[in-house]
Amino acid sequence: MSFTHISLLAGMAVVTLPILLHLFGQRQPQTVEFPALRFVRQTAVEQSTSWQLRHFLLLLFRILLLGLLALALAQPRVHNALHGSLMGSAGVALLAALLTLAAAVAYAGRRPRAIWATCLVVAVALWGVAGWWTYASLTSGPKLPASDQSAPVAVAILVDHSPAMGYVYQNKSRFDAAKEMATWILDQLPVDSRVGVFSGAPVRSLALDPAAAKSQVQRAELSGRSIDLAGRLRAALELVAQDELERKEVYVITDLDRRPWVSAPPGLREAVERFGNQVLIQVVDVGGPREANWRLSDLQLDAEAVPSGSDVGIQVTVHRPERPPAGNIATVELLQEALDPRLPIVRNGQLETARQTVVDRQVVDLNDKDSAGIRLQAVNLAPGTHHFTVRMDQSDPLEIDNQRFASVVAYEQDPTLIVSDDPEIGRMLQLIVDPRVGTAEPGGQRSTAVIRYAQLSSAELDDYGVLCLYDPPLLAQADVEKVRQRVSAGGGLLLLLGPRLGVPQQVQGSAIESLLPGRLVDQAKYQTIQFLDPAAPTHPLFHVFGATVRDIPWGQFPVFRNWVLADLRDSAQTVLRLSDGTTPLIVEHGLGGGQVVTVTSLVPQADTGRDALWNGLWATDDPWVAFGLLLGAIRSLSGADEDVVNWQVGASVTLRNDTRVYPARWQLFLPDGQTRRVDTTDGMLLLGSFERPGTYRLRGIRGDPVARGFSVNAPAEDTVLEPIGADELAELLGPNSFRLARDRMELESSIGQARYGSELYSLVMLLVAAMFLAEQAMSNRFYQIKFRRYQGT
Amino acid sequence: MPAVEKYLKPELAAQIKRLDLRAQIIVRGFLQGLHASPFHGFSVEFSEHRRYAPGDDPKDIDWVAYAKTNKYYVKKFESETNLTGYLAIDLSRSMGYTYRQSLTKLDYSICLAAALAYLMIQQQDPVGLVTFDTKLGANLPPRSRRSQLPAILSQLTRLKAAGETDLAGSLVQLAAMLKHRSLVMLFSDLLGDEDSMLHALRGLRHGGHDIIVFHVLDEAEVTFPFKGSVQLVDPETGTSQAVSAADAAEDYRRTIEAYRGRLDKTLHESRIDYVPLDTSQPYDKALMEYLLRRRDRF
Repeated sequence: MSFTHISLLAGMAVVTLPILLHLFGQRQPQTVEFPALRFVRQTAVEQSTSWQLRHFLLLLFRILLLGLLALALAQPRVHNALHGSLMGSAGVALLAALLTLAAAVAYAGRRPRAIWATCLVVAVALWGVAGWWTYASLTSGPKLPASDQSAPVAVAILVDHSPAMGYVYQNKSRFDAAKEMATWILDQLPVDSRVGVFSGAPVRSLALDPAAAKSQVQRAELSGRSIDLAGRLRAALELVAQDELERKEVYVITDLDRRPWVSAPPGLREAVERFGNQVLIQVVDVGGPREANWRLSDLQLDAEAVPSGSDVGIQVTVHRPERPPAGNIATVELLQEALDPRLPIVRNGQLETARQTVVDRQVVDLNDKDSAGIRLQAVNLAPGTHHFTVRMDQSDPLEIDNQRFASVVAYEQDPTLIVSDDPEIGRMLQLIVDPRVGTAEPGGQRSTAVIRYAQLSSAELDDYGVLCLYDPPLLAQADVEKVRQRVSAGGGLLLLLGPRLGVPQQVQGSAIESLLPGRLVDQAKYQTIQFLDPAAPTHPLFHVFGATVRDIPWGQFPVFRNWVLADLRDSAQTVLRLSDGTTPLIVEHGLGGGQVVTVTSLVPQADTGRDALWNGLWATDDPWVAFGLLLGAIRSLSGADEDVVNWQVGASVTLRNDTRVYPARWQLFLPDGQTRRVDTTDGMLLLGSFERPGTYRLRGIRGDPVARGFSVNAPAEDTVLEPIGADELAELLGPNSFRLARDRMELESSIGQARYGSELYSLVMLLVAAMFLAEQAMSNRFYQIKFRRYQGT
Repeated sequence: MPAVEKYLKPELAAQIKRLDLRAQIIVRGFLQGLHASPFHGFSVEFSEHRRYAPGDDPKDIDWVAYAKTNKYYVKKFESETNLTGYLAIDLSRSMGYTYRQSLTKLDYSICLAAALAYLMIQQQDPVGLVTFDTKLGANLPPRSRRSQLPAILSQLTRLKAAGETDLAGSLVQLAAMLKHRSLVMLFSDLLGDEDSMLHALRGLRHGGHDIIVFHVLDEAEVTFPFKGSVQLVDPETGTSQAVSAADAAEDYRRTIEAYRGRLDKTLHESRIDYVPLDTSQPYDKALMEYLLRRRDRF
């Protein structure tokens, strides 16, 4: 409990006045002659008792009246959470006072003992309950901060800038409404308050004054991905709680969409409840009504890199709102940007990009379903980086999920020579390298060739960029030398070792050993099953898996035998190893100007039952991991291992940049027209993270203009508009730990109650009035209330 | 209210210092009011007119009435009385008490006794006076002469309330003193011992005397008008009691009413007239009681 005018509590001293008057100032009775005294004396003794009792009660009521009046003038306030408890205890106290009065009247009126004794016992019990209740509430309940309204406040303001905050209602986005609300809150703060604005970058301290905080709020921008509001709340709470200022407040201004709360860190509720007593946690809902929202799912591309001349398919799902305002039919278009290395440019402050044309269009009828998947296709991609936009014609309050972006690299692949004595395996590897083989699509026959080992001596290896030796035997010195020279000249070699090498003793000292990353010492067979374990997940070999490389269930692929390498060369790097943590399975090493990738356990290998199975990579219904590993190896060796060019907002975008092929310096064009210069660092372009979805274009000069680029998309799941209910929020943060307001009026009231607590003035004045009436009744000033002798039997 | 009649109120009668004038004006006021009252029929000099009938003395014809009505009326005169009255006045100290009235109980009793004496002398009834406290004091034998009235009034003006009282003993002495059947008009606050007092009154009644008990209390002794805390002191015994007036008032009033009711009932059973009075009441109630008593006798 605290007081607005605590000095007025000194007025409590006046309660001594009636006590002193009672003790010393009692008026001596007037002496009056009265001959008929004998008729008075019959009742005098009885009246004397009630008289004294009434005087005592009168004194009690006067003390309570003056004490309560001083208390009321001091304007006591309690934390809002205690208001209900104190109202309850005041009610019990009032009841106790009435019962006390009733007991006194019954006693003085000579009512039966059962009546006044019962009243007295119940009254005493109620006084006890009221006192205990009040004491427990005030000591264990939350405390109010300092009563000085001009005292500075430690404030953290969390502005939700998730994509759903871009929802427009009454020509104003939720985000704009949130910024207005934050500005209003900051306007209410004392000037020397300390503020931290959580609207993007992490906040380490409450270093802003309200004016600077307003500027930061105005500069805040919408993010393309959902933010971790729950995590930020916890960080803000800890920051504010550490501040030395006594008044502490945290404001969360959000549309109460579910997504920012789903990844709540463990212990959030405990933290909120722990800090809730000292920190005002105010959630402000700026969501407004939630209406229709059409949305597109994340795009699924057949491939991010395809050989030039290929087609690429894009899968997308269209979701309609529950009650679409303008029909259930949507048209989805695929726009392809023309390849023009001279563009983009910024002209007159405007980004000028190559022309986009619609290359595919689908009409989706969602009359009888909520969503539908469609496939859009772009055909015959010329070499270069292609940028696509998938666009839906339905307009709605949330624009961000009505279009998606995609980039696809069409590369000119070095021809690959596959050497295998098993024609089926050779064909299979050919298809892995280029799926156009055997189809009518142009280029497929030029990109790969399959020969037997017997033909190796006569083959023109210089025509091929990559050699793939499947289950090689102990090759002749001349063949090995021929291969080594090709690789040393800048080619790539994929060695898929298998049983045909024979026993290790035969390999040691043989010519083929010069192609290996180390010494073959053994052919291991495992009693206990070994599994795959990526040793270098960032290796280009894994790029085909995209960002999911760590999510691949490597433990599902057992390895039963493999060649054991020892004394690895200095340039050798283990890419994939066994689960024992030491045995290399895929090793890359340099050979002259070229690269060699060695796979020590045979793959692909069909489970025919005839030969011993070396691993389970291919012997599954869907050998997609083996497929990816082989494709990744070929691409990394052929120089076609383009980086991932489709990213989600917030991800750190990097692109490989071989300065032998590309310019070392690029200009990055952001979708909003801003530009940035990017230099190559260790063969990489470190582009940073981006919050805005769209097409990001790179333009450089290497003799002629060169263009690259990538796309950034917002996760589709972040724009699924699903509000989180107040009950769920209470479950997440703990009931009574936070306050919720939906408009400025509610916010004002809520802040007022939280900062200054609930006024007890009216409650105490009610008690004052009750005491006044009781005192008047007892002193017979206005009401002729008398103790009557009980007339009952 | 006619000028004379208002003097039936004790506070106005008290303004008249001379007791003889006071008694005279009280009686005249009383009689003036009596003509317009339901009790028309009492008379001092003549009671009423009646139609002349053969056998009546023609001297008795009221010619003034004849002039007004053209009919013969004769005046009907009261017969000669032989009612002997005794005014017995209590002189105990408590009789000298008043709280806020202009007359003490004794003053009120004296005033009333004077009026009754005047009335009786007017009717040529013999009237005497006795006073008592612990024993009988002044004793003025009954006479019906006109000179009796100044003697009684002179005696009355000298009365003072002092000391304790023995009503029962005094009544016994009075009974022994009375030789003829008399009307004893007792003026007392009856604050003595109730049983002995009733016993003495019954003894007096058994002696063949008519008794009218004028129970005179101060207005404060009836209404208990005190406020707040008061220390009540009995002037006769000196005992005191502190009480809260507001709490004690109702009980007191109930107690005093019960006392008066008990006296009324007990005395009525002994055919003793009981007239409860307080010092704020007009005198006509007491005078009326006397006349009613006199009519019943004749």
